[in-house]
Amino acid sequence: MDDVYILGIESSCDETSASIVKNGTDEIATVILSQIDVHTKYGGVVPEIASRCHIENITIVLEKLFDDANVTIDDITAIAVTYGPGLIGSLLVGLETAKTLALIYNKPLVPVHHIAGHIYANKLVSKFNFPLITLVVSGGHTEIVLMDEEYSFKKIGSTKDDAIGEAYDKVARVIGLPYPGGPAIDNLASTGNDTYDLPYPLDDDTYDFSFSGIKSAVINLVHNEQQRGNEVNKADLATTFQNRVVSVLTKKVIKAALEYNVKQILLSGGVAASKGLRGELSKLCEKNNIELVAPPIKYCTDNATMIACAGYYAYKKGIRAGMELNAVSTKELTREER
Amino acid sequence: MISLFMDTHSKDLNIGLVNDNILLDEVKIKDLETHSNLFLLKVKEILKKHNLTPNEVDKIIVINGPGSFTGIRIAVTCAKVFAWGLKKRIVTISSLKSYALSTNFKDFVIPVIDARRGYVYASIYDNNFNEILEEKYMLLSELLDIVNNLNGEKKFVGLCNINDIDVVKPDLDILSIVNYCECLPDMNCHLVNPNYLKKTEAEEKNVKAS
Repeated sequence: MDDVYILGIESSCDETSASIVKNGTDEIATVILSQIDVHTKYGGVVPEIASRCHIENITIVLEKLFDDANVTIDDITAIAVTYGPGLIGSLLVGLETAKTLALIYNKPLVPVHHIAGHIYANKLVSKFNFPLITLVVSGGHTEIVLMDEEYSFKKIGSTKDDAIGEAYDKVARVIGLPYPGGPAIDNLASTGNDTYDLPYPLDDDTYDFSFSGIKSAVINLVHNEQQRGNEVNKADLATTFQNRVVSVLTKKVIKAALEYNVKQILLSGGVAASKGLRGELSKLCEKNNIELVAPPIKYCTDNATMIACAGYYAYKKGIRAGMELNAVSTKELTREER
Repeated sequence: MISLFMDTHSKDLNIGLVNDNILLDEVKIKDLETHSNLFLLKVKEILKKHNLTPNEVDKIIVINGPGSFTGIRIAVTCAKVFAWGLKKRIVTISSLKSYALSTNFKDFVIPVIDARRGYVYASIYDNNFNEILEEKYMLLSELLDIVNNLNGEKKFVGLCNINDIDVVKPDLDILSIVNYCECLPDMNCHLVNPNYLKKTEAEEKNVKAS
């Protein structure tokens, strides 16, 4: 069988990225241009600035990609692109780029859901053993997804309010840590003690999550301490916060794995880079004889490699789009993305 | 030589196909809410209709603003990727100058686009297309003061309602625009970018704060 090379493009937030992946698992080359330095001074991603950066950089990223890769555009089988969810202005730059490339080179266009991309980053390190459970944790998502077969997604639980990454960013801001908050809290959490009284967020029998309560609890705690003239121990607060959210995330994902009798859990999304989450989930998986797979740290945050990986499986399933494909800012990952 | 003209800077979509001073075809669709689901579809259709492959296009001409930030990026993204991918010539032209090139006027033409909150994107050209006022983001009142001091017949064209002034809605003369662009030097596709004429609100606040 001929090798299938997918050119992936991702621009849903603040990373302009392009990648070529062979047969869904072998990374040929990837370019990721992060705008994090641009947005840091604003304390978060500014959508219009992100869109402006994407359009300035898109052809430079593509050129660097083909300079780095030992393949040419003639070798590319299809073009995969993130069409949503994400920041609409940012998504549109990547989407129009992918559609233009599909048009001028007469290649099939494969639409990829951003979360399918995060899940399929795990293909870079492991085979999937179905059925499996994946915990998707990022700045925009917190969900537990059951997969019975390749490129089939069934959501069994999700956040009712803030995404886990949003909660991390907000808590980081309140205690005065730099943006992005996730890595800052994760690093600090490994140095402190669990001393504060914070609630376990939505610690119930469902597979749903809620992080707005614990986020508010941290904000109130910090304000109260400030009013009393007490200094907040940042490391202890980071440790307590991380312990609470990791406890509930891991408990629910293990429960789901046992209920659906799966032997593999995939960790996906930007927060999958968290050492605290990886460590705790790894312990629990070992105890329950479940294999834990997590992407290499550099593929946890947004990148086009994961889009090209997912794009391969979507391509094999016959998923295609035409020039009328539009970007969507919000969209559920459905059972079958067709 | 085949030239492909692209424009999505406003709610109107404009695509043109020009072969050596002859307008082969054009697509003009008014008042769209979104361009992204239609623009490349129409590019594909117009090429197919004329039995042209993308590689048979020699040059891309794209309007790069000012106008709707998101709108501008649709055509400019497609244009620069098209030019990069097939190593084609590319030039940009401003929306304001395009309005001027599409308008019959005697002495002065004033292309203007509403930029909200009392501001406009505007410029002024004389009948040799010399820029009397360099295009900029400015208060409408400031523009009107400058216009009032000009001696001669003045014609406003653009997307803006101004009290007591007749502003002609632009209908792009694609052939005139493409012909005008013949005198412009080709650009490096990596440097083809929108010309917003306005910083983002976050950047403006940041400047004020510092």
